[in-house]
Amino acid sequence: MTMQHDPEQAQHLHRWQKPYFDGKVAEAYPAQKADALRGQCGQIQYAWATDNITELTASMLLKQYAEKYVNVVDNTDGSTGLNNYADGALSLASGHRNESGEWQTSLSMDNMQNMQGVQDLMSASKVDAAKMMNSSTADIPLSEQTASYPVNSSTCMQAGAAWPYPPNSSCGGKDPGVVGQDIGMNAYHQPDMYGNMSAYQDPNGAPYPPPQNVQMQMNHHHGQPVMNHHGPMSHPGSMNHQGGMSHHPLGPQPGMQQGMVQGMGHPGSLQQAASPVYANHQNRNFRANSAPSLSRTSSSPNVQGGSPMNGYPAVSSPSANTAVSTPGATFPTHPPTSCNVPPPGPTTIPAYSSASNAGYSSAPTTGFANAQSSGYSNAPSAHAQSGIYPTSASSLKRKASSMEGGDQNNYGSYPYGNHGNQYGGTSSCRYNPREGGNMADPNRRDCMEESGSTEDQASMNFCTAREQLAINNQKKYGRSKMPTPTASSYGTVKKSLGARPRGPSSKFVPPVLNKEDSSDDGGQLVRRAGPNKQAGMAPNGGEPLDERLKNIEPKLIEMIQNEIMDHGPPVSWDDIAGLEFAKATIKEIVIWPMLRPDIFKGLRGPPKGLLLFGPPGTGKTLIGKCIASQSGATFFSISASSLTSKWVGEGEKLVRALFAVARCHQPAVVFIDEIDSLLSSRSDGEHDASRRIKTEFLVQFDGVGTSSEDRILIIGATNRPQEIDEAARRRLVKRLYIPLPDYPARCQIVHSLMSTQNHSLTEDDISIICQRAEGYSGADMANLCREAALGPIRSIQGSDIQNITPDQVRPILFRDCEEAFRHIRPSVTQKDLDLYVEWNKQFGSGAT
Amino acid sequence: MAMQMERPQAVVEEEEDENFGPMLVKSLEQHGISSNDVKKLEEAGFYTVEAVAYAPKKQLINIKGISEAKADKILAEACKLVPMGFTTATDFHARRSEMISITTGSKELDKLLQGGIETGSITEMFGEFRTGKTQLCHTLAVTCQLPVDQGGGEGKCLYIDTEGTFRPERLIAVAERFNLSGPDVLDNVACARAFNSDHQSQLLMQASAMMAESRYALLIVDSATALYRTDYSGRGELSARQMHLARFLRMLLRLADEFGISVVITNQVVAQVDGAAMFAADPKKPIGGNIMAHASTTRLYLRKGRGDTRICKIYDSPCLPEADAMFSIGNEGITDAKD
Repeated sequence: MTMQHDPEQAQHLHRWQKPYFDGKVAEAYPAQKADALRGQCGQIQYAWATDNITELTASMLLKQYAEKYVNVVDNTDGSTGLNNYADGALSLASGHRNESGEWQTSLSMDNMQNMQGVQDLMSASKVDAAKMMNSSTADIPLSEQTASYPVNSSTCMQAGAAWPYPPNSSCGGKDPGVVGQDIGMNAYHQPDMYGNMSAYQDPNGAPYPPPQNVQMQMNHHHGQPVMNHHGPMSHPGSMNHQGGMSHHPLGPQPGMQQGMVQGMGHPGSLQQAASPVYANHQNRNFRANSAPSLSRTSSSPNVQGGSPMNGYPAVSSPSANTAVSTPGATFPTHPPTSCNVPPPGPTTIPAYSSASNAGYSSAPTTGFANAQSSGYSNAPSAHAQSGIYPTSASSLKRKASSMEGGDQNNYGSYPYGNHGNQYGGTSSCRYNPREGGNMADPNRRDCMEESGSTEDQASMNFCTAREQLAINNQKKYGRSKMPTPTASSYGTVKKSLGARPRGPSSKFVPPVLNKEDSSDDGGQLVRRAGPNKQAGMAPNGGEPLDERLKNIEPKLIEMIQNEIMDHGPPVSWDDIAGLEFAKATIKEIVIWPMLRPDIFKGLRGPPKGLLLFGPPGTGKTLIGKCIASQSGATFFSISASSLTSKWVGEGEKLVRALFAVARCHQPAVVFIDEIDSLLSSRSDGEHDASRRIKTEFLVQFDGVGTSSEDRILIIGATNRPQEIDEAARRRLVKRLYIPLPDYPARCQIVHSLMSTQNHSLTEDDISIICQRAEGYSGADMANLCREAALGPIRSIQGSDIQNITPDQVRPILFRDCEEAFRHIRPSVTQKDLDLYVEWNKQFGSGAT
Repeated sequence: MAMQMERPQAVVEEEEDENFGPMLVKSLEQHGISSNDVKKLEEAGFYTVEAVAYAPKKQLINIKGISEAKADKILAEACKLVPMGFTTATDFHARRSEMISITTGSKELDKLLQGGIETGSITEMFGEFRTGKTQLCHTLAVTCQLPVDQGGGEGKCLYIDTEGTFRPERLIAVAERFNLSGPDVLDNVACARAFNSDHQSQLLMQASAMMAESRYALLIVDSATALYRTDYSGRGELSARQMHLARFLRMLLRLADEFGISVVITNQVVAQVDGAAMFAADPKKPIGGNIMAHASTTRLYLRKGRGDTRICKIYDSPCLPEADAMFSIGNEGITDAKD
């Protein structure tokens, strides 16, 4: 943090910096730590208000300390944090008692009541207003009482008044050195928001001499009866207004609470424990003197306005004004300038902050809503007289107290819920029935618009679904778990402030996950024409809007598109041994037209059908694979299962869809292995459905609707060519006989298979093997080699197989192959071959 | 506290992209309306120029501190900014064709609704229990966050739950189906439980404030009439109930006009048990009477089919033909009915 400041202010700066760098913080208890950090936040604000540091620095510092503070307050670990935030909120929501022990057990109810300060306070609260006036010369009761007055707008003054009262304030004893000094500084060493509040008044150099303070308080009390008369008149509002005010004491309670605790000299952990007592006290006090409390609220603006009358220096306002207006610049809906705010305005600000921030963060819990709504109901009552617009005031408030608000979340989580419940049931959890019904009531509308206009307030009713989920989980699982604050039941529920979930009014964040498969999308582009592109098969992810696909059900299209092979195993022409004529023919009708579509057109256009037939195991399917990987066309690998369906008529539609999709993906190759299953010759005994599939196939293959420009090649592979339907045979123009491998081809097969194995076969050995393997198909050759390769393994003794290293296995010897010949016999008989040769002579296009 | 610390950044973001959708009422300041009056309007719930322009004068006069003369001036300025006159059907048609529809998750249902739930209007769904009303609502709460090209609205969802049936875990399940991030989806749904009919209306006031701040695509009220059924009972309170309901629906319509969001409300049914109904095949009618019937632009009647399937029927629509579609309810929300 680099700061630029005048040298004359350096001393000032030093003063607020000092406590921060104090080493004590490190080994303090979490509660103390929290207090110290909160105090530092207050000090930063003070320094900011007095222009000792720039706004930027202030916001940086505030953020830094706020995070530290939150870490302490929010930490589940009992030794380092207070575990005070989410547990409290959520257990309130589910009607639980709070389970975090550290914070609460520091002081029991009994202990509290035994304390001198509390007793004084309680006794003082019982005396009536007139007596309180008289007792203004006295000590703790008075200062406490004044501090605890729920007069929203005059809390500042009272806070200011309370502090410099050295004989009574035990806190004063903490800072004896500064009593004579600036009062703001005095208050400002307290880890407390009152310090901040009075700090707003401080920079004007208006210290409050004790006598004057007393007088001011007396005036204030004097003013009550008077204002009591004025109250109803100056409020055009109505009973509704009054009802709102009856909740008044709820609002400023955080302030009171803190004030009280400080008065007793117990900063820190006492504050939480103190609150229930205080709530009691507050109630009693309030119910006993409901009239004075009303008068207090109604007189509050008057005290502001008439502060000179009280001898109170009204000059404090401008400084506070600047203090709050600087951050306002970032607030969007309200103009940042505070010029509209009349002088009394700033004094109301801290009070509002204490009121409405009480329930700030945790929307769904009951207590917060109470505290909030009462806080809001304060607002219009004050505005009615002081002419401050609620929105502007509250927006300023938010800025001015952006720290305190957070601080008080912590406090808000416990006592307010209790308090609200005690409070005669007039306020229900999230909705305040006293506001019900009359929509036109300005008071209520103010409240509602207030609550709607800002994030914190909107959360009074709306919460994000994530928060709702957390609450649901808490309700569902929370009760069954043991009450251990760090239990896993809170693991999912606990709000982590580091990555805070967004509130109900935050911006829309598109929930779309990042697509890592964008590379796939690239592959899914339609490849049209582009014969020069040598990429893999191009399936079509989407082009369902193609004219040709219009009348076909999308589901069928999807089924067919699933048959598109986009990455077959890489097979090159060299992997196919022999079959030179077949390879040349296929290159001529598949590969070349891809390369030069301009030449291969018209009469030279490639044939539409190709039939590969021959004995099993001779490489027909391998040729299909090779075409798939080498041609660059869209390759459909179709089997009978792709084109049949359990529904009658669906199979035909699938055939139609197949051709339609293939037309959209030109150039396309449709490879149908074992085509005899699909296109066997039609006979009387067959089923209607299979017959219709056949006829549909024939129609689509070459029918009225097909055009000669279509670049679709149907490749069928079969080893029963004689069973193929004659019409299909006609359409499969090129019929290639794939014979058994001849001698050189067998040699090539053996070479390529053995090359991956350690062997000691000579060329002569291989030629002997290949000669002996006459009549073996390619698959038989592969089996032979496999069998031979197992020979060395078989020679290993049974127990050694676990220990032997791969290089210890002996190479494949010639006798292994000889042994293999005894086990592997040719799978094709000469009779079968004669059939193929006969068929080839009759229909085949090969010369061999 | 961190919430507050983050606030300034959020504010900056808000200012950056404020030029979507509705004009904020602040823009009236550039047209001769004092900022004080603008503030008063905001306090009274008018966050957009559209809201001011669409409001009757009576409502403006009711705002404290706005005299009749001032209200006239404000209205005149607002009307200048918001086109409220005649336009040709061509323009209107062009504008309507650009309108976003939010997909329901079922292709059949989308086809029936010609794209999905229409934005800028109120869609009512009614039917017995277990007919999928709430499930459809949950699915819509997720699909409205999808990008426009996927049939979404690219906006947040506001969910007002009156029956206590809102289940965020369902949203997560639906989000998984659309390959969305669950936590983000949940964060984009603002939900509130309404406890009585007054509260339900009051939530709408907040809703308009929230909509002025960030982009919302959908407002769901599930169900709109449940609380009215018990808050008002008998014929004695019928007119009060209907007036209140009418005001509520009017506010919904205002939100739909103002922010262009789509409003989805669900409605319950009542069985007709008198003599005439004996002959009717399906004696169930939506409640809310004529007020409900007139307020909702599109009315959908949901009914249970076999197993997981549900049948949606167009009950009333300005443009859709009276037809029905079948969809199915699964773990991932509304889907197409399986074979």
